Amino acid sequence: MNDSSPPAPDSFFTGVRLLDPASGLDVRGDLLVRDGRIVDLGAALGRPDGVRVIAAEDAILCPGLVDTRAALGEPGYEYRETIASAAIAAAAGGITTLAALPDSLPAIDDPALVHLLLARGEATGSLTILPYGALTRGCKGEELAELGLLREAGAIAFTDGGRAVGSARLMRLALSYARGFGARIVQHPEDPSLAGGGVATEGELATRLGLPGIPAAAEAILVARDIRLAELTGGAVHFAHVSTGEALDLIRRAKDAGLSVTCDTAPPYFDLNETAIGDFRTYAKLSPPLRAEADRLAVLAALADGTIDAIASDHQPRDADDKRLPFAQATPGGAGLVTLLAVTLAQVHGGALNMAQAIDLLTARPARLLGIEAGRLAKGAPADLCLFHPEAAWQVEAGALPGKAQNTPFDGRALEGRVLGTWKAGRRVFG
Amino acid sequence: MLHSRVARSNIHLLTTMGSRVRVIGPPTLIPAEVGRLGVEVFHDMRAGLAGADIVMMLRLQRERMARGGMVPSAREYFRFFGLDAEKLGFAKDDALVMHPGPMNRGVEIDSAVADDPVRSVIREQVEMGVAVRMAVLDTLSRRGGRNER
Repeated sequence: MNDSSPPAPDSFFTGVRLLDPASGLDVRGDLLVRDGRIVDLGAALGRPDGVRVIAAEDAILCPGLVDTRAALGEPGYEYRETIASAAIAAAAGGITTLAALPDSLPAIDDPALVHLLLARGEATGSLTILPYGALTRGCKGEELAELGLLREAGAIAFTDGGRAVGSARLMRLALSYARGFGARIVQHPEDPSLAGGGVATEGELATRLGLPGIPAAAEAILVARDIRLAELTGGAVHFAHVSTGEALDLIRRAKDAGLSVTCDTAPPYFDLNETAIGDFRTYAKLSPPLRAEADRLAVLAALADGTIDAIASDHQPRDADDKRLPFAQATPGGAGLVTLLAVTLAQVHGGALNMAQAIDLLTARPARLLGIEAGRLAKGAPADLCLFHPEAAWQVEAGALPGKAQNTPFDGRALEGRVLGTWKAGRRVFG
Repeated sequence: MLHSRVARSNIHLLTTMGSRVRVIGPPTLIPAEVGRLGVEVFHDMRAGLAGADIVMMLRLQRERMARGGMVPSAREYFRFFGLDAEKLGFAKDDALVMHPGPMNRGVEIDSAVADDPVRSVIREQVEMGVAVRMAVLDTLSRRGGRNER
């Protein structure tokens, strides 16, 4: 889509369950969109003339999902994913805003590259891309990138993506320097000196399979260190894809102490455990690795009690050649855009979360984390919307997912909850 | 500031003389607990310079930007902390500009500001610095002579 596309038609959603965790709204009713914005919502509005009517009994209308963490493959890894294909997958998953990781090729360590990603996102017409800036030049973990200039260009926060900042000195500098610009540092919480060479969580299963292990403590150690550094510098740290109970306990305590500490997790860490790697299924090789069942349950508990601020897709596109290798050699990472909502809903159906909590973790809370005006149903807000049927059943099938990346760790998983339609600024971009 | 003798001397002197002193810079260059010396700390030039009578720049030591340094680049430092006409505009209309020298033009100070005949007193500052050093050396050497006896 581009500027020459006709304007989005005015739409009237009727008889849907309106769910807006930001305001606490949860009511069966109607919602009117004009000129790309929500102009009215509530129980039983009058149906205006000349609008496209979308009637969906039993469906839920919520804000378009806000994904705080996804790799796009572009620039540099277009064989895995392009922005265009990621936008297709995101729309199919109900995602309308996405924060893009900077460890591309080149890394997003120059203001011009931030502008490039912003423009490419706009050109999709369906997805707002919020670029992360590289924390260090080339995401190499050696010297600070130009955080101020990147921030000014539009970088939403700073991270080295899937690479942890291993040096305590550098992390201290980063937290301290970024504080001056009011920016958050996003850490891949895994002590590289402890995790190096490992491919699965250290324990009985890795031992039986003969795989080099990564101790779960590698996560807690880095989290503990960085919480201490956040305290020392007054900086803000965010831990991505937290996967262990021990790390979550540390984060919970840091939050209680009033520190600027936040975190997210991703669906694999509350839906799967280490047994998913089964007979060396490389699609279940992730970073951090899938954990023990006790950790999966701890992640669920932390979602329910609010310790975790957002559920991110942690989308990491890989092609067949990245994965069709012996387990230890395969590239870690799973596709996550299409399945983000449905895998989260599995925990609603399972009783671990209620519907409002689940949608909050996918919309309003990630928007707050990123400091953006998205993720809410409100008069005047852009009509970024996701319409889904919470019970519609489907089965995940690697090879049949919308978009290019097919490396889902959920291959074969039966799910309930299906996106019926996605709207970006009032324009239907899926369904 | 973290590495500056000039800053420490001036903070001791000016606070003793009753001036209000503010320090402005990225957090990585501000020494720990500097507020205990009686100064206010800012990380933003607009807020820090608001209402200032005198703006004294400090030399950014280039080796501090080397690999693993505390500031990512000279261009970024200039953009956010380099004194140019726009940032000087945040201070009082007749605020004076000082710098102990030697200057890194285009890093912590724009030449247009450094060479401004009305606002900049940098040349006078350097000239008086020579006189002060001479006076200090003279005093110390006389006193040293007395102590020998």
